[in-house]
Amino acid sequence: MILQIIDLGRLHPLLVHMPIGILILVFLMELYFRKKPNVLNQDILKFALGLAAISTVLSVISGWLLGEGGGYDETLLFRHRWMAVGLAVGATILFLLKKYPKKWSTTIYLRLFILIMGLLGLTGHVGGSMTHGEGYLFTTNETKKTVITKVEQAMVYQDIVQPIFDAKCTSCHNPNKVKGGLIMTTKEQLLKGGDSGNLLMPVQGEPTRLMHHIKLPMEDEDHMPPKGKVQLSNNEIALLEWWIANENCFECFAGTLEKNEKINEILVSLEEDTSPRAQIAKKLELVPDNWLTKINQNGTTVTPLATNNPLLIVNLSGEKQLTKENFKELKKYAEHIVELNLANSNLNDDLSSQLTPFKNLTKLQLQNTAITDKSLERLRHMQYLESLNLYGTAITDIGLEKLTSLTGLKTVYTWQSMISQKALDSFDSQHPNVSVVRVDKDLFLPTHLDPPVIVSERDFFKDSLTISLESFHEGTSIYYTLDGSPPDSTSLKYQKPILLTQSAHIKAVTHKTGWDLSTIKSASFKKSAFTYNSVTLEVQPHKKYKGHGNKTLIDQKRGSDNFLDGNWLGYEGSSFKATIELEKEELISTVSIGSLSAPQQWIFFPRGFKVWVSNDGNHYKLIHSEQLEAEKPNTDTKFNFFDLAIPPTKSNYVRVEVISQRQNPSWHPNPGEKSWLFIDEVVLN
Amino acid sequence: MSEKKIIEERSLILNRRAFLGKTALGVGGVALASLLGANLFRKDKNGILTKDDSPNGVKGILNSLHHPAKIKRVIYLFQSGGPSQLELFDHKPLLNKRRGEDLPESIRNGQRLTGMTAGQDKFPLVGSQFKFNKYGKNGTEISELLPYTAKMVDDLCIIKSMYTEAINHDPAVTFFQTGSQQPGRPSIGSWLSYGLGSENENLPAFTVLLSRGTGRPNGQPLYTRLWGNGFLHSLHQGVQFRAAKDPVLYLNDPKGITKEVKREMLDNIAALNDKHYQDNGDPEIKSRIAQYEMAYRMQTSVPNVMDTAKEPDYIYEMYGPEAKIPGTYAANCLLARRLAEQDVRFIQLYHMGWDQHDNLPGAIAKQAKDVDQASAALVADLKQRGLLEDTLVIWGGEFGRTNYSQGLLTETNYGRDHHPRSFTMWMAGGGIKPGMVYGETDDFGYNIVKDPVHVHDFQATMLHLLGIDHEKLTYKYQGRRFRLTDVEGHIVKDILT
Repeated sequence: MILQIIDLGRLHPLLVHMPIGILILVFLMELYFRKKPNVLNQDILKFALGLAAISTVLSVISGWLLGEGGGYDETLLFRHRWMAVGLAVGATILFLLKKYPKKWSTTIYLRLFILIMGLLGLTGHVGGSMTHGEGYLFTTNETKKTVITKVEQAMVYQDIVQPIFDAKCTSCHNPNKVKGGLIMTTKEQLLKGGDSGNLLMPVQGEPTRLMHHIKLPMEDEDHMPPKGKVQLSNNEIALLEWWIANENCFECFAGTLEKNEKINEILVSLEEDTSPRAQIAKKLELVPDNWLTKINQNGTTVTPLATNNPLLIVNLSGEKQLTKENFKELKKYAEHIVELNLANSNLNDDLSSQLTPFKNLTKLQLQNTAITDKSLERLRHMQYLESLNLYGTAITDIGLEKLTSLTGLKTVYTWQSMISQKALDSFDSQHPNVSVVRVDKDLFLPTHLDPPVIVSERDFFKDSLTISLESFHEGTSIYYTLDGSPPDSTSLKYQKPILLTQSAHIKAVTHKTGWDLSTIKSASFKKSAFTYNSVTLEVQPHKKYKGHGNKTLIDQKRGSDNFLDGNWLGYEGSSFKATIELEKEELISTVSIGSLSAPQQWIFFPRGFKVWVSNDGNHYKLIHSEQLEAEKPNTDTKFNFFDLAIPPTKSNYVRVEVISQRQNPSWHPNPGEKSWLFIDEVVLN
Repeated sequence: MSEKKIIEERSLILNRRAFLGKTALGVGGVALASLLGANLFRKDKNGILTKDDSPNGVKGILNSLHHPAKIKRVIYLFQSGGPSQLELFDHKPLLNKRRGEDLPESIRNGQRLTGMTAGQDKFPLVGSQFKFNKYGKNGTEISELLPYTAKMVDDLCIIKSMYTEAINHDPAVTFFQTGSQQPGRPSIGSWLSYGLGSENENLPAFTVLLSRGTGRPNGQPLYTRLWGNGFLHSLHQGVQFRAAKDPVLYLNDPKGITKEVKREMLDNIAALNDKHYQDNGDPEIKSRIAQYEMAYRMQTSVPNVMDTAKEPDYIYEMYGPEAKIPGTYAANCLLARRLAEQDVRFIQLYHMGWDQHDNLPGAIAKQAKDVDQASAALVADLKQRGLLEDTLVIWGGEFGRTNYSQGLLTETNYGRDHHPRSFTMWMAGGGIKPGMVYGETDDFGYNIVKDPVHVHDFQATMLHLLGIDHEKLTYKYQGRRFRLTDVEGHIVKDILT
């Protein structure tokens, strides 16, 4: 029963605000209505005052019960309690005076009201001091924070542990509000502990009562800080444990205590951010949104570094119409700008005179602009400048010298400037803290010659075709053969584009004195003089590799190593057979069949061919038949045109059978499985 | 609810829409905006500008960053298919020593296998056929397959302890790109476009470049949804730049249409769309107008950025001979640098063909050659231009490969299956500790023994570098707030400067 009454006390924070609000409202109404008294107004006031009196009495009752629960500063509690009682009595008298007005009471009424308002303020303030601590109204959070500049020299208790208590514990455990009889504001009080015992003694498996309460599940009544309050972070818990593990030393420095990597990292994170940007930001106010909106009207150029950060980044890269105006409109917040990108803009020595106000820049990008050494003069006062990009400018050794005065400099980009190697080297040795970024030129020098590139518009031609060869390297020559034999430096030397009038298999190499020959690059070009009427596939290809149907064979498009490219017909475990009808009777002496071998993909070259001819499309005569050797073990992807020399025959129809290997050979990782045959073109000559 | 009431409600909604639409667009809107604060009408919840602001481009939903950023852009060199960490970065001599022995169950520990090796009755261990050497100030081990990457090792932070939850390509890539194995969420670039908008009003914030590897030319395909916007506004999807006459499809004008005609047409369509927007307030209309305008500006900006002809020879020498062939990885790396110079925020490369289930030694040698020089050159090139300072370059695939052979283990040949439990990635650039190796796997190269980094951790760290709190960049959809890192993700502080 008693417990329940005390629980009623918990309604105090809720109830207490009612009389405050109502009393203030009635007081203001009273002043306002004085000018125009009428019955209705008086009725309203009577009702409201009645409400105020009742709620004040209820607040006092609930507050009294709450105070019985303990944990508050006795002096403050005493004051608050009796002021509130006075307030309740006063409010009740006010109501009675309003309800039953006497002649003498009108003057007293207002004076009493003013008095009560004063009392209300005082009572409220004392109540506030009880819950939030004395001086709550005038202290800000920031003043409490100790600044750690060098964590090694920080006092573990005073600079690290106590601030955690201050942030998360002392709002309830302070001399004014002694929850659980515990005060956590000083070393002495911490050692003394609270009602349930010593804070730093082991309890229930935890080395200390402190950690026990922190680590209880959130639902547990004894969990600290209580559910709903701001909880300790993992880092804070780790720091407390570290402190306790070191016998909760009150006088130790962080540097002298043993610590693991994790603690080290947390400790470092406590250090104040001493970076130039943090230093600059500390001194500046936020930039107003409307200025940002205005300046970004024609595309975004100015962006804040982050939310609630006063620093700005300005990006004017690529702007070719910069004028002094662009810089002047930035001048108002020049100190806020820490990053300015003018790369590839029309910046020159004239415009760069506008850079002087931007003295807080930490990063400046001037690459690919028309500036000269003169412009660097304007950077002299940029004490925070850390990164300077001068690549692709006409800056010389003299300009580099001027950077000496930039004490904060860390990185300079000088690629493709006019600065000499010698000057860079001496700058390096004089400024060990500055890194002049260079990429070793030799890093990507070729270690071998790459083969030439064979360039042509098409792989097939009717009359003639021009082919050119290009070397990737300077100062090399190209040698080539047209008959398929391997080229060397005694072969034909490439001088001008090659005109082909016959089918050819070109092989080419790159040559340079003192170097090994490149690997061979090869390509075949087929003359295809005849026009075809149609192609009939006697055996249908696999449904996955149908290409563009029967047209695929005569579309004069070679297949690539991506055999899904639509230029290949694929046959799984079966041979290929097709009939070609020519537009008119022709003298045929060669049948060429384009094929692919890629053992990794279970694709092999053919094992044989058969060719028939016919003049009417009904009666065919076998005129050629040949067998090929099986492939030796290999994993390469290869393309080949198999040219079959047939006895010259005049005919309208040619039928070709290409015989598949049908199975993977024994040396294959999957021997005996169905192998593939791929055909992309059939060309007659 | 009575019928009358429904009608009333609807008219109320319509009125409010019409009011907002008209005031936001008209003179009243300007006056109101200046009364109520500058940012009120700056953009709607999709990050699209309203008319009274700049007519150009996309603004991010974040007015300003959560904290100062270390980087301004990301180049993500995605190695699609799952590169074998054991042949490239994670040197495990024990595997060579115990070659052919069965993988101990104590190491595998019940790991889920793909259907491709689940049927194998033996899991023969196999070590790298390629040699490792020590490079850089810290003597970091790198395979002989990556000679150029090895030279740049002092600029890289190599993470050997990545792990993922997916075991197959599609869910794994989707997981990396969207934070979820199931399709339907926005990809990283879309989140950034949504959050930060575009720095360059003439180019999309999120571009995609694809290349096929020589290691397995017909390897796993990719899908456009990997750079999709998911439930975010369609404005934020990745724009694919192709190696062809039309780098961006359907961008060029049809024959016979002049610039003037085009401009006039766009103006008229915009006027009609504006009118439509005022009537029904659908934000997709705004997005449509913005996309037309962006496409118009891209007609000039895209050819400019794609035209690499003026790049000097020594640059081609850096990136390697293939850089001259459009559509190759090397050419894409060069383009990535050009896009970075243009302040494109998220540049996504995909290089396919790392899925070497069989014939791994031959295939990985080719595949590594595809990417080694150009990746290293990209880092070096960004560095000498001063761009590496505020760019993050990421190299890595969707998972690693097993320490045992898939299929027959012969003298010279073996394969490796997918392995989600540990793999290697590297990062370089702003805010990342250079010359660092992070994390460690056991001697079998199978399990992580130190500093594991989950896919969500990687994503959280990347967003952190960009100045974004990964828990705060969210989008409410179907009744819940979504974010890239789902409900997880811890910033890997150890690798940050």
